[in-house]
Amino acid sequence: MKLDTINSRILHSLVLAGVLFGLLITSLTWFELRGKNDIMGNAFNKRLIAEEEEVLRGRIVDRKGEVLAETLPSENSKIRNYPEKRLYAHIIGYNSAVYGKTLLEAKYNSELIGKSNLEFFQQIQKMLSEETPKGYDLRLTISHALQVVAREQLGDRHGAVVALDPKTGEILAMVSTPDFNPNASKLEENWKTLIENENSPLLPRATMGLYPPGSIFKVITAAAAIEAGKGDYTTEDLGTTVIDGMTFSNAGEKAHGDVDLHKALTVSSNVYFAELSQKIGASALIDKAKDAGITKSFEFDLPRTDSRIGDKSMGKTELAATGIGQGKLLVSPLQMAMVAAGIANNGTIMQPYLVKSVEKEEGSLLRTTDAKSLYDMVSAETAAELKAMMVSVVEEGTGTRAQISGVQVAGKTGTAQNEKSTESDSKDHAWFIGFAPAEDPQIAVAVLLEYRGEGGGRAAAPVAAKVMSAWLKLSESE
Amino acid sequence: MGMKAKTGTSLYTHFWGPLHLVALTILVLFGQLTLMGSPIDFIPLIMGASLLLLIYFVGWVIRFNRLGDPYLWTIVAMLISLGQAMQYRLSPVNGVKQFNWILIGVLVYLMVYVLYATLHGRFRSVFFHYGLLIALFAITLIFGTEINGARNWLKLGGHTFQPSELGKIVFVFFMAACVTTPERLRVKWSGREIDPKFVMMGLVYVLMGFFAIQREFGTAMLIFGVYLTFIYVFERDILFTVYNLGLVSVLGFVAFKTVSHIEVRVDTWLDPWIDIGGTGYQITQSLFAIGSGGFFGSGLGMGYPKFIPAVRTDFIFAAICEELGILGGIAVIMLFFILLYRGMKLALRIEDRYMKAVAFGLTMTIGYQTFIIIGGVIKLIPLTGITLPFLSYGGSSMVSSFATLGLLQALSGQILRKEAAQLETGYNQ
Repeated sequence: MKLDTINSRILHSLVLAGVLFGLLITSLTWFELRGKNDIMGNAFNKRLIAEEEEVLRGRIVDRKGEVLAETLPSENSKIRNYPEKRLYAHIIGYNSAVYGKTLLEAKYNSELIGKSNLEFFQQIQKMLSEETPKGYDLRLTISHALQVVAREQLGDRHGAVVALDPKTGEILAMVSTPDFNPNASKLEENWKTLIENENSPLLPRATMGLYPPGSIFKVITAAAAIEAGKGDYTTEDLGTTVIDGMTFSNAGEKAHGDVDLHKALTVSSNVYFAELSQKIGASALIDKAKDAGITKSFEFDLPRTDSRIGDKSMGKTELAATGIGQGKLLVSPLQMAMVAAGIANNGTIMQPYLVKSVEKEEGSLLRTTDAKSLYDMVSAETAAELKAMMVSVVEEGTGTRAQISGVQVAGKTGTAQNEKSTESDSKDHAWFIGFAPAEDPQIAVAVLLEYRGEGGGRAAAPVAAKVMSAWLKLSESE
Repeated sequence: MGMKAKTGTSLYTHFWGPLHLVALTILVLFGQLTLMGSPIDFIPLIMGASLLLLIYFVGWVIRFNRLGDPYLWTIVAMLISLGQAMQYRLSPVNGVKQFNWILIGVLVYLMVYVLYATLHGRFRSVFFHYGLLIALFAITLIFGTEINGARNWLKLGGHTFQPSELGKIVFVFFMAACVTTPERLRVKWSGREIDPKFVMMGLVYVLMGFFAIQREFGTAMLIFGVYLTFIYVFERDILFTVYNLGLVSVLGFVAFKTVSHIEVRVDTWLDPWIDIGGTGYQITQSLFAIGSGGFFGSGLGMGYPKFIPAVRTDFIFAAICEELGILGGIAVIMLFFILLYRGMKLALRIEDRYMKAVAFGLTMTIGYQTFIIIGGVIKLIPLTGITLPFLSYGGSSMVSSFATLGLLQALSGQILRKEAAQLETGYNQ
């Protein structure tokens, strides 16, 4: 063999080595940026415990400073105490030597133990000082008082309530039930039943639960119609309509007569919206749902699940089903609260967030979260039209139980069929989304009661009314 | 004479600069180790000072005697400084022992340089090296001691020694002899002559089998990688390389299906989280360490690398990532890559095929070894326990790494002298 050939093949080997080493570097970098995110909270990561032994883990407080989680200094063992017990199980999560860390305790672990890279020199200072160093505190956007109201309203029912400030995206209350007591001793005592319980008390329904939306989705169908120039569609509602051989009927097959978009949303006419969706077309409807954030992912303080919708090749009957919030649609309560907030905020959905600021001991801020817009869902004009319709829903339509005296409320009810619904035994989910006051929205909510077999107007609307009016009173005194 | 001086100057012009950089690294790392102790620990101070003296002294020896490529030592000086600081931080007692191994390693490095220059022509025999390899196996199997479930250690005096560390180097010489003097491998079987490359192939597969029997899957993988690149570079027929790759894939798959601990290793690699308390423990602890370090690391002495089993040997890279960040880890990878580059550059310049093959094989050995262990520790490939050259704790590894370096240095010294002589002749004409 010629020496030149050998030499060029040696060069190939060097290139191969370069590729292999490049793979090492790429893989390390990927691991650091993405791969490690889900594993660092694992209970087998003994660093989490070791690091905590040297610091006093920071507190987690509500927007007014109410303590929601704290670590009490003690000689031999430091115990993470959750004074509100179950109330924040699906926001704060738990911090257990045995089962690891979840939710905010996991996501903000380095802040809570004071290991933020920003504060390098202060860390050195801390190391040199004698006393036990303290981690940073988290101040949440949650209002403890409102959280209590929301939890009381759910009672022993399973479901979720999400309330947020439509102008900033601050989450004011977020409750999922069933829940569990995250205090270490209780967690260890109940662990086996918690993981085996068929009601999944460990599942944060507000952020990770996916449900068919039912009629609350009609606000998105309406938005798609208005922006596609089909907002002037009218029909005679006889209680049922047949699309491509399949019958779609109103609740109780009630006939509403001549209906336009405004009337149809107010009375929640399935006939109208099933027909309307044919005019809009699958493509425009799905695009509008995506504008509202369905199927999209975004950065959030807690793990969350993306909402789902069918694809653009859907047939006529599936399109009609999607238009009334059934079909392959699956949404999370957080997602639908964001939709309500977007309409309240003139068509712009703000990025939702839970942690208002990370604070040092003396109340000085390490960093704060800024409000920023996330999606432009609809134009301001469309938002105004939707708002007017949603006001009618509460004033004279299906959502009258969401009324608050002296305040104009906008909303939409939903009663969603699901895999457990049968003709003899309705297990429908009850939904309500809305905001108040309609003219200057301070709060937007989504309420879900799963497998209740009750209508959204009957069961979910009163919960929303209580939560919204409680916040309006609280924010007056704030 | 003038030309010779010119060649010399250009090669060594930037010699001291990078070495000062190594010195700075030593000052920072060992300074921190000294101040970290309470009360202040003077051992790292002495150790750092000795290391400084050592790198400048060896540097001066290379510079003054013109012992070939000046950067080989600079790169390795950086690696051993990082490794030594980490070893002392992980265990002061073993850190001191490791320092002795570095001193012995450097001695071996210089000795190999001197010896190779006088002996290199004498041992170009295929069967001498193969015999040596088989003898190493035989001795290990008969007199070997078992450590961590693998019977691949020899006790010599008070020390244990891993013969496979020497085996890797001998294997390179064997391969170099095979590809440059294939006529020695001519075998007649039932009247027909067998192509020498198939004889070579048979011999190599037998060796791989031996390593597999001793459960040294890392070393088996390593020599197979070296063998494969050897036949790619030195056999005209590229298909031969492809066939080998295919054959070993089949063999590997059969081994995966039949040998249970290979299956366990692969399963652990695919999903270590299933049995995190058992087979997956080591690799997940390594991932926690790398993840907790982030880009910049916790700082020397401020992480928890001791949570990883075998952190001083196989998992030293994870410890570096935890405390010096993945940027520190990437620096280590880059250092190995420039070492590789220098070795390849050397192999390209050598005209004698046998010596070319030796330089190439030794360089690839370092390259593959680095890839196999770092890749294993970061879960890019299944984990096999081999050492990271110049960084892992242990005498066998340190000595064999320095012996490899000594050989490369000797080959580059020869090239340098030869080229200088040629230039001088050219000038005189």
